[in-house]
Parts: sequence; structure tokens; C-alpha cells
Amino acid sequence: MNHNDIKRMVLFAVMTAAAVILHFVEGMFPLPIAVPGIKLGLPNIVSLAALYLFGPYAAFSVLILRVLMTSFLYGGFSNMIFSLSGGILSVAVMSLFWKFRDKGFSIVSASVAGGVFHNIGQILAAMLVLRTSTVLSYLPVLIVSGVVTGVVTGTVAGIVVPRLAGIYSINK
Amino acid sequence: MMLIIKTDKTGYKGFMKKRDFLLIGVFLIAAAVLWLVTKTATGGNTGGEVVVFKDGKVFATVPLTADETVIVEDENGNRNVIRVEGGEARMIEANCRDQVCVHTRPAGKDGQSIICLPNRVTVEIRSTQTNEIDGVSE
Repeated sequence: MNHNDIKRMVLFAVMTAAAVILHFVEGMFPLPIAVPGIKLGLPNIVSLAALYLFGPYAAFSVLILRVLMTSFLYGGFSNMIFSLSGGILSVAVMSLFWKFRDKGFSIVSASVAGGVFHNIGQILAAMLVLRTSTVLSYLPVLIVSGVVTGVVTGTVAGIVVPRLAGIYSINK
Repeated sequence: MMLIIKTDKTGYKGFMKKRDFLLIGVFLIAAAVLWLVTKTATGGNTGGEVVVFKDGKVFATVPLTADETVIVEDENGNRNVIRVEGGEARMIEANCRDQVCVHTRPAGKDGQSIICLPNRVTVEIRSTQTNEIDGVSE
């Protein structure tokens, strides 16, 4: 294990811890909206930061570690299924936009697409669990909420990432 | 809605670009189209029946005009109580953590639903009229 491996391990751990805390903080302030399942997605700021600072591998690692930890701490098995299906689809789509970051898509695009596909992933999981397609009627609402929360978290991540870039660096 | 954040230190100016707004527009249009599609699919016709599903299987069917309480219980201790009254169905009790289903607005129109994810219970309103009276409006 060389110096960079240790640094990478510590940074991933710090980011996972930050994501778990943000998940907890988010749970303390439920949004005053009467639509089920809508969340601000604060932990997604960490996924975005991991993606734009270190790439998709880091983003997936931090996501999966975070979901495992929050599921063991606060949720349960079904929670983990929903978080994982939403999270993995979300990070996959965000990675795509990260790849095209020089083609005119900023971190906000990644965040918005990530937010929308996070919700789509959860709906797909719900369709599988409930074996019904009625949950699809929630899709329009969840797309709009994904866009709104995506703009918010993407803006925060856009402010945070350049400031962390200097501190969170791994020498190649 | 322009988000321009100017910071002196890094010289970082606003990060939202034209394509970001384009992407947001595409998502919003998709949502609007889907909303219209589901809205036309769930017509405002009453006189249907309430179908309660448990684990994807039909558990009970109650006419909307009835005055009845359906209790769904399973071997794991999951419990949901559905009340059908005044042409509406509502989840009046559930022992799940999030209580989302209990806070869902009552369902009374064709296609509306109440869902309890943790207990895998769905309540759907189905029209009994459409097929008999007007098959074209499907």
C-alpha cells in the first residue's frame, strides 16, 4: 500500500461518512410536500463530488458503502433494495454526463439526470416488488421533483467541487 | 432562472450552461406528456370498484358504493386497514414505518391508487362501467 492508496482510502471513507451524515440530516427535516417518496437527495452531493473529483469508480464505491451503512443504521432490507436500485441507476447516468462534461453539460446536468433516474430506478423497483404498474402514475411528479432537487444539489456540488479540488487530490 | 455564482478566488463563474437548460426542458416536457397520458387514462368516472392487492395478488374487491372496512394482515404481522365509504377508499391504518399510504389522498376515481410499499399492499380503483357502456373510450 503506497501513499496514494492510503490517501484514496481515507478520502473515500471521509466522503462516505459525509454522505451518511447528510442522509441523517435529510431525515430530520421532511419536506412539507404531500407527495410520497420525495426527498431532496442531499447525499447525492457527495456522489457528485466523488464523481467529479475521482471518477465513476469512486462515485460507485461511496454510493454502495453509504447505502449499506444507512440501511444497517436506519433502514432495512427493503430500504436497501430501493436505495440501491435508485442509486446505481443514478450514478450510472451521472457518469455518462460526467464523460460528456466537455460537451456543454455541466455538473447540474449530471445532477438533474441523476435525480430523475434515481426516482425512475425506485419506481422500477416498486413495480417489481408490488408486481403492479399503477406506480407509474407517480412518474410525472417524480420527474419534476427529480429536476428541482437535481438543480439544487447540482448547484451545491458545483460550488463545492472546485473548492475541494485542491485539498482532495490524489497524485497520479 | 439564471444561476450565476461569481467567486473571486477561483475565478469560477456560473456553471449552468445552455445544454443544462435544454436537458431540464426535455425532462419537464416528458413529465408533462406523461402526466397528460395518465390523466386521460384515469378518467373521472365513478361507480367502479376498489381492488385491494397483497403481494401482487388480488386480496379483496369491494364496490365503491359500499360502506366497508378491509383489513389486510399477513403472517409477518404487517397490517393495513382500508376504509371504503362515500365513494372513496382510504388507508386509515397501517403499521409500516413511513405512513406514506395513510397520508395519501383518498382514491375514488378510475385509475387512482393508494400504495403501501413496506407491506406490499396496493389499493386500486377500477371502473366497472367502461367496458359495458363504451368500449371505444378505452
